Amino acid sequence: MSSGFVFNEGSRLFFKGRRISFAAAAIFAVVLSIVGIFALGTFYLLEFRQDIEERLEVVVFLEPGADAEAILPDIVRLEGVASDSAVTSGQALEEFRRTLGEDAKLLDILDENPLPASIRIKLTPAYRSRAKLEELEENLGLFEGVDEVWIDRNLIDKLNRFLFILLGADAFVLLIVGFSAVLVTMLATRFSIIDRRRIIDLYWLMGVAPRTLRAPYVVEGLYEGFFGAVVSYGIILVLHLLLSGLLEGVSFPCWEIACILAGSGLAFGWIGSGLAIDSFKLKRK
Amino acid sequence: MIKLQGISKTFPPDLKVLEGIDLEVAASEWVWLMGEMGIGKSVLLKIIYGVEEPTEGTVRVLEEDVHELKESELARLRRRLGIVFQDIRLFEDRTAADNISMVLRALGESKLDAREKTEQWLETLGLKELAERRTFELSVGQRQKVALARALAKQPELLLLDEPFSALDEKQTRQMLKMLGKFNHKGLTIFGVSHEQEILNFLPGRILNLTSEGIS
Repeated sequence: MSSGFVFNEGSRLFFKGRRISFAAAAIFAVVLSIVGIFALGTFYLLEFRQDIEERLEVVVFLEPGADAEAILPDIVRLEGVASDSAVTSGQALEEFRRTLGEDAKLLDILDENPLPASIRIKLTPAYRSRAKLEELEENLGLFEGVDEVWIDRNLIDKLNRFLFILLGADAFVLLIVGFSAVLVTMLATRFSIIDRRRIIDLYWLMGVAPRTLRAPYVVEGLYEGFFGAVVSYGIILVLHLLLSGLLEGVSFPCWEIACILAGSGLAFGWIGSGLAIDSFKLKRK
Repeated sequence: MIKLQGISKTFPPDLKVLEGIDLEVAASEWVWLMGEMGIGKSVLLKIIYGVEEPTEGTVRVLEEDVHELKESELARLRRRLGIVFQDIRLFEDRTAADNISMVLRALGESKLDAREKTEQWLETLGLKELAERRTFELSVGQRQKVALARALAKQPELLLLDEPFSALDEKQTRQMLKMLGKFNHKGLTIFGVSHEQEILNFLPGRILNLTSEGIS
């Protein structure tokens, strides 16, 4: 197969061909923008989860009279512990006061500080899963002087559930819009073939291999997918810039979005045009 | 090189064009098939090239059973053949040079080789000045020459010609025949069909007649 000829013909089909190729690329842009919006939402959520996970703390409440400073070096040696710090009951009360703000004076009616001393533990990334947290919780409970181990595992669970649902929605959207994109490419390729039927027949009569005759239409499909992806990338970037005013600190996952859009565009273009040329028979006459 | 056995062709519903045609053309031979218009010469040529299916009979070209070949095999066989159709069949919106180079490129030649060969064949056929003219701007005779240049540029083992000189005057016809004679001497097998009795006098090679009774 002559790759130079195939690429040139494919480029000619797309750039100098009929408006149908550009219309197909425009539809691709719309379809891929939908994919991009879902992908962007997923990345936002992933970033949010990471942020939450980084802030995630395990609080080890100590029994009255237990020496936090004595336990600290042993805890930091545990697998999964990134760092730990001791909080005295006085510091805990002070923090609580700050949290309550104006209502802090309610605490004045108490005769004594009810808050226990504690140790706050930051986790290594590998220990941010539910199973690992439970393992750590068990280990921490074995220390002398430990009264209770507290972990906000509900938040992690909720985030994971929501992420799971969003990923499912991503897959569903990808499937539905992918199907539409494939159909569009199939139609565009068929129009293109019908439009150039006479030229194809002439090449065929001159002995050009069927694969060489069909391959330029796959190149055309890839172009449609690629240009659709480029336009949709622009749309998603603009959308991110608009949203970044509302969602402070979120970054734009440029490479990930580019790979998803280009990958989807090229894949849909390839599948659609491939299906169209598969059903195209060369005439004997 | 070409072996036809018991070739018949009937177009639906019952238009019988050819019946029981047997023919053999040896390598390096030059054969002209003459016959009146509508007798089935072009149909026979198309059957040899695999464009028309015979109703009956077998067609062997370059040791291949033409009508048993798959798409890719037929394409491979056609690469070894050159053809000039009666209706010429060029890329109408492209230049004379494009018509040759595009086919060569599609057949796997590099851009540079295709360009060099195109220039060489246009010069050989006396079309150098018309290289950049689009084919619809050319006369029928010039278009026939472009089609011949395209066929020869493939460096075929067998050249099939369907009324190749119908739009050329006697002088040009003689020039073309002289040029084709040189290729024939170098080993190119040529099988042509024509209805023009007036060129019989200066046609080289073996001359056959196709009639309703068969080939004589």
